[in-house]
Formats: sequence, C-alpha cells, structure tokens
Amino acid sequence: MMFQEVLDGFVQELRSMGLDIGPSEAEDCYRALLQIDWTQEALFYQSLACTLVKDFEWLPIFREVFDRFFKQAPSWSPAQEEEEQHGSKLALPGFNQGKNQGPGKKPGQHPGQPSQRKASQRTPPGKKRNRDLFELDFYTATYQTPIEEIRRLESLVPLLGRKMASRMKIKRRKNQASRLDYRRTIRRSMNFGGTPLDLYNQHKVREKPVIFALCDISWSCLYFSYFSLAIVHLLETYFRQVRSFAFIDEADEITEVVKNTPINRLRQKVMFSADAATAGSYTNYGRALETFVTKYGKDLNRKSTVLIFGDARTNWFETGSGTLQDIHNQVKRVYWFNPEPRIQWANGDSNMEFYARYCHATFECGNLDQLADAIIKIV
Amino acid sequence: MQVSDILAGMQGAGYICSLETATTIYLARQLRKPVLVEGPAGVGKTSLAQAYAQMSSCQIIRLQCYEGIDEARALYEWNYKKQLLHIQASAGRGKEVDEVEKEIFSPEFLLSRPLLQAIQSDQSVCLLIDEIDKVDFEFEAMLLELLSEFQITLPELGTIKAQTIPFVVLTSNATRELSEALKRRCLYMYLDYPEPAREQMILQARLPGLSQLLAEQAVKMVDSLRKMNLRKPPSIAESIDWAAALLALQVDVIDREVLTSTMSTLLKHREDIERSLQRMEIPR
Repeated sequence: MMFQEVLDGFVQELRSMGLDIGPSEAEDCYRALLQIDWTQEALFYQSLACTLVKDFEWLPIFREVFDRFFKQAPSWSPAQEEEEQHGSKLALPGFNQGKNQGPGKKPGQHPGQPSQRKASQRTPPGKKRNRDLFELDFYTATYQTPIEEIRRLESLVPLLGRKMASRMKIKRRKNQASRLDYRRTIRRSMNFGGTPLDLYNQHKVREKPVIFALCDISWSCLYFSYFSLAIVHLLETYFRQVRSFAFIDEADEITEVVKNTPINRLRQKVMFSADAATAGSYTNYGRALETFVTKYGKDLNRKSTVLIFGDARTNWFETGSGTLQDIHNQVKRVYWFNPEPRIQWANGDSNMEFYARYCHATFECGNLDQLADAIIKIV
Repeated sequence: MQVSDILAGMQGAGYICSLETATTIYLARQLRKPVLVEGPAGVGKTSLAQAYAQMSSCQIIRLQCYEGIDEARALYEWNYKKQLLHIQASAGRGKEVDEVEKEIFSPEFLLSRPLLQAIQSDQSVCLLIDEIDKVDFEFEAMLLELLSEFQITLPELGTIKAQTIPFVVLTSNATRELSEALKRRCLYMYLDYPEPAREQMILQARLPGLSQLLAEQAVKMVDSLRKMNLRKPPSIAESIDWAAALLALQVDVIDREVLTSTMSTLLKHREDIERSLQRMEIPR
C-alpha cells in the first residue's frame, strides 16, 4: 500500500466527518512524516495531528478516526518498520503486515466500511452540526422537545459568546476611527516653529447607556429564554450598567443572579429565585409592564435603553400598550426581540403589532443567528 | 536535533513537556513553520516559547497582542519627528526635494517594532506572538506574509526577507476563531492541563524542596478540582503557587485546615472556593 494512498484515505475519512482539511494541510502532513521516526506512536500521532487538525473541537473526532485507522492493525514491530521505511519507501505503519494487502481487504477494519461509518457519524458535533443548531427555530421548539435537544442548545452558548465577541470587535473598531484634531495639532505646533511634531486625534465621546433587559421566562418562551438570559449575561461584558428583569406575570429584578451565575445554570437559577416565576404560569404582559414601571420606573431616564425579549402573547390579558408607550416616552430606546416569525405577529393573542408602535426597532429572532445579528445591530 | 534532544533540552530549561509537544517543536523546526498553541489560560503556552529560547540560547522577541494593535506598533513606524527635523535642517542648505525625500525614507528613520526586529536579526531568534486571538482581522491578514514567507513588504523600502528563519510561536486563548488562512500556515497544538504524573514532575522541578508525598497529594487534589466544573479551574501556575505556599508553611500532609487557609492561591473566585471546600474529599 503506498503511503500516499493511505494518507489520502485518512484525510477523506476526516473530511467525511466534517473536518475542514485543505490540500496544503495534507501536503504539510506528508512532509512532516518524512521527518520523524514512525515507530514511536506518539510521534506519528502528533505529526498527523499538528498538521491536519486546526481546531481543538476537532481533536476527539481526529483521535477516533486515528485509532480506527492505525491502531486496529496487528502488532507494531519496529524491525518491519525499519525495513519498510527504508526499503519500499513509505508503507504505512499500522498496516505493516502485508504491503500488497490494502486495508480494504481486511474485514472489519476498513475505515470506509458502512457499518462503522454509520456508527461514527453519531459521534459529537463537527462544524456542520453546530451550523444547523444555530439555525434551529426557537419558535417551533416547544416544551415537548426532548431534554437532550435543550442540553445541546445550551452547549452552544459559549460559541455564541465567541461569535458575538468577534463581530462586536469589528463593529467597535469601526466606531473608533478618529480624525485628526487640527486645532489642537496646529496650536501645539506653534511651540516648534509651526512644525506639527505631535499629532492629536479627536476623541469620540461614547455614550454609556444604561440597559434594562426584560426577559419573558414563561413556558411559551422556554427555548428562547435560555438565550435571552444568556445574551443578557453576555451584554454585561460590553456594558457597564446592565440591569436585568424576568417576568411571567410580574417583573422582578434578577441583575444579581445574572451577574453571579454561570450561563449554563442561569435559567434554572432564575426560575428558582425570581418572584416572577412563582406567581402564576401564564404570561401577563399588562401586569408585567405595569409592575416594572411601578417598581423600577423611577430609574428610567433619557440614557436608558430598554430591551424586551418575549413573544408578545398576551393570553388575552391586559396588553399594557399604554404602559409601553409611557416607557417609550421616558427612555432613549426601546427594542423588542420576538422569537416568532413576523407573519405571526398579528395573529391570535399576539399583541406585537401594537407594541411595535412604541418600539424604536423590533427584531425577529427565530434562531441563534438572528438573535446574535439583532444584538450586534443595536450596540 | 532529534525529538528526544528537544525533550531533554526543554527539561533543562525548566519546562517539562510531553512527547507530543516535543514532536511539534521538532516538526516546526524541520518544516520551518510557525506553531499555533491554544489551550486554557495558565497551562504554559507563553513559557513554552521562553523555554525554547533558553534551550536554543537564542533571543526571544515578544509581541504582546491587544485589541486595536496596528502595524505601527507591531511592524514598523517612520520616525516622524526625526523626519520633520531633518526636512527643516536641510531646508536651509538648498538640497533638492527629491534628495531629501529619498533621505527621510531610508532605514535610518525607521523605527523597527518586534516583527521587523525578528526578521532583521542576523542571529536566529524566537518570535513569540502572544494572545493572537485579541487582534483584528486586518492585523491577522497582515501577519500572513510574515508567517508563510518570513518576509515583510514595506511600501517605501521594498521587501525585507528574513536572514535567518525565526522560530515563531503564536498563542491563543481561543476567545474567538482565527481565520482559516492563518491556521493553514501554522502547525497546531492544543496544550491541555498536564496528566497528574507530569504535573508532579513539573512541581518537583520548580520546587526542589517539595517532598514526593506532598507533591503527589497536591497534584491529586488539583486534578480533582479541575474536574469540578468551576468558573476558573486552577492552572499550572496556580498549582505551583500553591505548592510553594505549602512549602513555605512547612506542611507535611494536606488536611482540611491547611487547605482552607491556602485555597486562595489556587482559586480566584469566592464562589469557587466555597463550592470546592464543600465537595472536596481530603485524600489520606
């Protein structure tokens, strides 16, 4: 078996598992293998790993394929190795029993064998799996969704953080571009006979908004609330003052809880600690907004930004549109993030159509991607 | 230099690395490729480069990345003040404009920053680009030429090629994903917390006075802490600090009292400390 064929097969197998490996990586791998002593497994493994794998999330998958490919072969004898490495030039260590017997001829060991491949595809997420999850619909996912599904979604939150961080960075840089402060530069240059030795830039005054985030944590928003709470938690990294509130039928402040709880336990903790969660199980937007204003309304001012995460399903209770209008008049901005598709906003007990009048912008956040995009748009 | 030589050499420099790490370093030298090292904070990504520099007794040039770092800080900058003074000084002497212009864009007026220094150096150096995940995309793209060709193009001077190929280490805490192009140019290595046996060797190498028994016990406890899903699990640096504290307190065996009083060297969040003290079993 020529070495290159085996390597190609190995790379193909990795690709089929969702790893993104280009020709240049394969070439590096080939070159690396010429440099090392194959008889030592650690060396052989690491030469493949450090040239082919470029993301630590891939490592478990790589390990599995590696074991399947190279370690199920019979004994690993250095003497044979030596002979093959120098003799026939580049036979593969794992398959050193017969040069003319390819791995395909060994039943149960061929990497491409259907049954094994099938089993392996159930293994943990490659990139593509994650991609699907980012586009998974909050709206269609309800409380009937199995718990594993929710667990998998939860595991995405750190990724969401990473995603937001990188996009946020780009955005912030654009904002930072500052211009030359001519006046100050020219003024200073007088000291040096009109030569502008020191340059001064204009400082942009950045407004520091105070954010009030309200999250609907009722059943109908089960999925969505995992992420709205996570987002609120992440926002704390970027803004100095974030106050968070949860509601089902009454609003309650959860700032401290959000601050001190790791993201993966956040929803659970909020459900246990917030007054809002104990009162009743149906969302009552009218009362929620009302209590929010009576309890915390005095802190709202022109610097505040209010973010509301919820589906605007009023259960035919009081809608509280008037209260929202009051809030709208008091603060700088009101944004609404709704997990439902826009088409549904005027249907049934959704009051979104009316709420939208008193919001500066509304966003349809059906999945993680949209949610992240919406947040980035407003900051 | 073979893999085993590197293993021994790094150990001589006070860095106890695994065979995998040594292999990667060996390959990076042979293939002349940079190494991208990822892993949790405090597992010795930066000290890897420092130990390498000590091992091969070469100079280490360090570029600490941060958000908003630009070419002027990393690569080169024209000495603007000196150029202005030069123009003023030559104004009185009736020099031609072209001539002055040529003069002020000569290497004499160039301030070289870490990357350019690494390229210009006539001895082989170790270039450490620390926390690459903090930079912007533009900056990352700028690095590509350096990392693949070991050369830098300056608009005014042309292309500067490295005289000796530097050994380049990039470190990242994986706060964001790096571009494919950058990764393609590097060998990739993920440094994880060491297995207990190796960590014990590290502790004993760093703290010669530490007894075998104490080191073993300490490593076991650190290992169980790391499995506890804490906000910030203890890093190697912290376990070394802890062991040093135990040594200073002349502790023979770790018991609950010692643990409570020294926990603050290991864990840096109050919540973590409380939780771990509740759950921790003291191995006898």
